[in-house]
Amino acid sequence: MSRHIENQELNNALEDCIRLMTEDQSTIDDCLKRYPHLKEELEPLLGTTHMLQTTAPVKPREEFKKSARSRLMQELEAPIQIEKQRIRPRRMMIRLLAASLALVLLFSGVAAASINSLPDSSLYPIKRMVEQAQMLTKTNTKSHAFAHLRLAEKRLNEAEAMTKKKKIKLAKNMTEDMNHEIENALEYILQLNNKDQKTLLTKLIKLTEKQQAILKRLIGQSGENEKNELQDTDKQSKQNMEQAKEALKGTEPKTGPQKQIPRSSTQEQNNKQTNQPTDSSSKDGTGGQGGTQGSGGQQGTGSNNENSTQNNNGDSSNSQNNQSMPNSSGSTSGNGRNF
Amino acid sequence: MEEEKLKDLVEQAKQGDSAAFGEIYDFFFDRIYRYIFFRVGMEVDAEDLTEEVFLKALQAIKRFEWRGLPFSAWLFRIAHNSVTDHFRKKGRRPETVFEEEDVRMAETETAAEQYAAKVMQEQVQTAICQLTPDQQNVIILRFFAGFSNKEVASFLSKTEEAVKALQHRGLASLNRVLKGGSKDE
Repeated sequence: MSRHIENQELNNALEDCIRLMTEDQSTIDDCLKRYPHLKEELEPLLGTTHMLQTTAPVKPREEFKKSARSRLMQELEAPIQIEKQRIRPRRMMIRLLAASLALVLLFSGVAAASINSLPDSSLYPIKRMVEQAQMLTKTNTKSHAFAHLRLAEKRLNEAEAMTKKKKIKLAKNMTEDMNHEIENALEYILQLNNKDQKTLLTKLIKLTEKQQAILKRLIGQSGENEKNELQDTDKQSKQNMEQAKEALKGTEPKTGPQKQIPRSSTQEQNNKQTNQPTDSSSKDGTGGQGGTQGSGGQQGTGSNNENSTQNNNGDSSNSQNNQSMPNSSGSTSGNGRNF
Repeated sequence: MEEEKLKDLVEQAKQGDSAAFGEIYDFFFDRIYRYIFFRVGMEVDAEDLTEEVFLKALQAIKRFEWRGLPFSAWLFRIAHNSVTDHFRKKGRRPETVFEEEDVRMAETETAAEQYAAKVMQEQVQTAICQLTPDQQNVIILRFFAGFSNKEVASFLSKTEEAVKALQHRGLASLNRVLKGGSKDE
């Protein structure tokens, strides 16, 4: 009991001293003079307090702060709703079957262990093989778009991890691979309807911004030969970003006639006004049926024609797009956190 | 920012005023980012999560009600939940991944000072990672996000006495870790 009271007294004295040091710029000695009987206990705690107070504050990247702000403002003006999807039971069964098969084939032993491996790990090639196999399970345009974006993000995280470890070559490879994923993602995204395009393009632009920040750091750290290659990768990244920005403009509904979006003559562009199911898997050859599951399933309800693929990609990374998180980077989830 | 002004901004933001939400964003962004950064240790993750926090806040602000808690408590609760969610999905705590170039700091005068500051920051972050989640929350919110004991208590749904105790234990553990010992006595 008395120990408890002593502790409470010490806790209060500590709090008081922290306040004095923060607000009144009191020194440790000033504080200790106020509590001479607690000097022994207080002194090391106040020393640590002082250290924390004098540790330079971490600052976010200014460019990130600005771009995130503008995305937010965009969101405020034209909110994007990613609606939850209801999946028809039969399709759900097919999905489950495919997912189970993929699980059996892919996630056994070493393959499972490779999931979190980094490019400098001996398990990493297996991780990439698993990713490729997983890609085969994607059955429609939207899930392909999501999957490529998710892979782009993985490559980004790996590039960052390699940069931290000063493994420039591996980091460079990851940024190049990320470009490929971004290009693939763009191909698919541009076939989606306006609403999905907007969501995914916003995400894609954000990823390329981060990629360029990493490339900038890498260029600063690399030798002449690698520098040239990195600059090429950076250039490509910027081109991808510009293309995405251009396409994003084309998704704006209000201003006059729709802009032509580059790169895709097959684009569906069935904007939401028509309320048509999209997706038709023109790219993956699974036939129109492969379209968003929800589209078929929901016709009866007349509600979300779109529904994100988030839940039906076969990977759960985002089943919780709860709160209709828009392009939010994300609904947080491990690797594919953002989808 | 004065409480009254913040209240006005929140009310305006609830009505869909983007400028008001922008001011709220500007006011809280760095603190939210710092909190998240010290919890997750990775810049990419901290950026994603910070943006996510504001998006969630934007989407939920219409439903925000004053119930005796400050607005910041509501916002930090979102941040706290996002971090918890992040760890849950990642399935593990991250290794410490702090490296010099990852950290942007307030300007200091010389390169030597900057370097020393970075090293210190790295040590502190590594040490913080060894605290319990509750202790981490208290230390980060108090010393890096600049909130009072009372505010932290409201964020974490704890009494002020409990926060003081966590602060005491957190500082004591940090002191031991920074001296090269174990966090436990």
